Amino acid sequence: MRIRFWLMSVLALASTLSGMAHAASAADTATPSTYLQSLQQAARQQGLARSAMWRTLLHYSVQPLTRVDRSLADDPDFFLAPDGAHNPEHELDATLAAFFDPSAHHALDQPAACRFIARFQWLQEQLHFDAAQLPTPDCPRYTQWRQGIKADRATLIFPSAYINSPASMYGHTFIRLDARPEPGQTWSPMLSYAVSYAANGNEADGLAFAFKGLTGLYAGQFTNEPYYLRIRDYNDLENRDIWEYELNLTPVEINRLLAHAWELGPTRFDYYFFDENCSYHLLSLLDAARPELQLTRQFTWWAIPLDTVRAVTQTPGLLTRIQYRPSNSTELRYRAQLLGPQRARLAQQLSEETLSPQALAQQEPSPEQRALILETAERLVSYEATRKDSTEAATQKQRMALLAARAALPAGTPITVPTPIKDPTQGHDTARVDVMLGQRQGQGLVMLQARPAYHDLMDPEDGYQRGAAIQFFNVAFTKAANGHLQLESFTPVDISSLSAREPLMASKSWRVHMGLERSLATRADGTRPLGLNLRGGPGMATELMPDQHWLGYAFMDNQARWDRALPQQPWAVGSGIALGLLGDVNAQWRVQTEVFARAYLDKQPFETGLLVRTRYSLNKQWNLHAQCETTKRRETRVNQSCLLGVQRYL
Amino acid sequence: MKKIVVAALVTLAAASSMAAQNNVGSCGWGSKVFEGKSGIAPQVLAATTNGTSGNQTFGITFGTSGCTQDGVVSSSWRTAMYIDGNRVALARDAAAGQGESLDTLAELMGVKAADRALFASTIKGNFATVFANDQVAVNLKSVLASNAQLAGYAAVI
Repeated sequence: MRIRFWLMSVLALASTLSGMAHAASAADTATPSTYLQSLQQAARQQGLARSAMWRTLLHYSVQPLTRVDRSLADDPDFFLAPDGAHNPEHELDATLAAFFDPSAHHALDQPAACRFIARFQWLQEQLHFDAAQLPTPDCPRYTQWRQGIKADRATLIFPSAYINSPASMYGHTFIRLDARPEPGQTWSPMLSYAVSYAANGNEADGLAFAFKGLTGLYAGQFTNEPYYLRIRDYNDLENRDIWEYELNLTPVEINRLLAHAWELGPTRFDYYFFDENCSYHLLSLLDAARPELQLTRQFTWWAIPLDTVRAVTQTPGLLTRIQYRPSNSTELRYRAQLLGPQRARLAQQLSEETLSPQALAQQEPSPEQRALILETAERLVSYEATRKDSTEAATQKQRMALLAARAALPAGTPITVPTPIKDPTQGHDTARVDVMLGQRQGQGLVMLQARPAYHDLMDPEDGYQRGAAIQFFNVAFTKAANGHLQLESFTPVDISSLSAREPLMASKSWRVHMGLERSLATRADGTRPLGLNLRGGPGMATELMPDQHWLGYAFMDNQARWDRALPQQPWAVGSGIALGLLGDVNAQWRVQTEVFARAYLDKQPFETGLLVRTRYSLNKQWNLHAQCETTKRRETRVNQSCLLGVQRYL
Repeated sequence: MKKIVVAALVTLAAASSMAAQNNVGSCGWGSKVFEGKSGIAPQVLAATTNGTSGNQTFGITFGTSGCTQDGVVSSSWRTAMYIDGNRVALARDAAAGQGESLDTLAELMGVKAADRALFASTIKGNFATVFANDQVAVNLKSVLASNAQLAGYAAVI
């Protein structure tokens, strides 16, 4: 890729030189149409329609399965040629032609040269328009917008995932534009503008959102708004920590980024949750800023926000600084920790209105502690309100009373939540491949497993949320000593959310697993048919040690199973309980053990089982992993397997 | 978090990360109510008219609404909109007498470095007045106006 890019650059340079000569030689007396033709010819000679920048500006991308090359924009108004969506050359010719038409009939009442200002600026650079024959237009609307957005620096913003909100499961990304303050002045990033691409839907219901998001039923849209609104949304309303990655884009590059953002503002894209999502399209803005980054090219099949952040931060020299903004729930947790259990209880009583702010002084003599208790109580009321989806207005009075009592106490020293040692980009890579050897029911077995995304309970926790595991499209193949390679399981979705109980905050634990897997029982002919397994249920988790290295959990263990090895009764529906322990012996070594017991309807046999897993990290890429499991139906052992192997993150 | 605002459904999808961006200009309706009236106070009132819960989105997109043009807040609205859209954090900082939201407000209003400590302590000292109701910007204006050293800043709101 690099070599190809270098070659293209050389070719482009060579043709630029010849094109310059060509453009300059256009007769001064040329009519617009002949001047247009000479520009179109120069563009062809330079191969502009095939250049990385043109492809970025028009969002051309080769579909990995069909190999069809077309633009991802789903808005006919984004193209000037009838077949512009899949013909870069025609689109470039039509674009040049449209620049000669000053009539303002494009989106936001603009002429083409303003509506497509990034195209104009880039083509002007490449083809050196003769101002006498193709004047640079006034674009008052763009100019006003561009001046309104003070932008000397760009920062990539990553509100991290919050597992209990399905739509946010793996985060979001957008770009913040910061001004460089005048000498002696300050610039608060809260006043910066954030440019974001998002699905334009308002399903609070995760399932509807997921369905529409997977099927492209949402229109995605670019928006920009002051950053303080974003902080409020993520930190306060959704309780998500925000990570900020400042990039070293130059003012010229930021101009290009904004010019392209302007083109995308009124343009519709169909939104797809996995590939054409917020993060993917955001990368295209960075590609437009600095074409040689070629960031979108790294994401053919899916674009997980965290991976896109990593692609940016791992580009040599692009990252200058990382900053952290804790969410309200993080602030609350930290304050509760500072207060200790007894004082935290006072905060809780205040929030439940069983203790009045006035009566607090009798319980707590120290004004500093009273101030902290009141602040904590107010944050707790806010947190509860967002959890219950009640409006802020409902709790406004109570919160203001708590804060008014706080305001009556001395200011004291500000409280700062410490930044976690590892930011999300420093965690393990999200794809993983496992190779395991072992035995099943006394027979030798090799297992290959691949997981495109994202994080499992056994993976190292650094940079990820403790107890939150989410895996998509996990697929496993096995080869038994006496058989051939076969699909063992295919699991589109596997989520576990273990939220440990804490003094002030309610915590919901739940898990869900659904997929195809081979039957535990063997048919008369020795084969194990593929069936369906749907498992999950609510639960609870608790930290067993103050150092947070041992987590105990219990789940209601519901299961619906379709098992063709049992032809009389292939369907089984049951429920039971699962108890488990997840612990870190040291920084590299993690163990998990779980026991379950399930009873089934229709007199199906009672099932019990035990699972033990252990992982040892050799380094950031490689783990050793071992797992043993055994399952009994009544007294019959239907499954016993032990596997040992290596895992590699990609 | 749903609430009807005169024919405009303002939803803030609790789920949303890549979700919900709703595009109801908060100034769109409010500013129409006060159309034809000049002066700061009506504008500020307009900003808070449909912002009683403080959790409406300004959902700004490319296009024109009452106080934004293509997502950029017009200068006369900047302070009012900041106060309205940032009420929770601002109240927290005001009560503590310090914090980023408060510093940002001072910066936005052009409060000189020499006046910033007084600015913060005055808001803290008058917390109950400033945050007595939804008219935070209006209340703040009157609190500043009654302080000899800070009166000049009242005009900014």
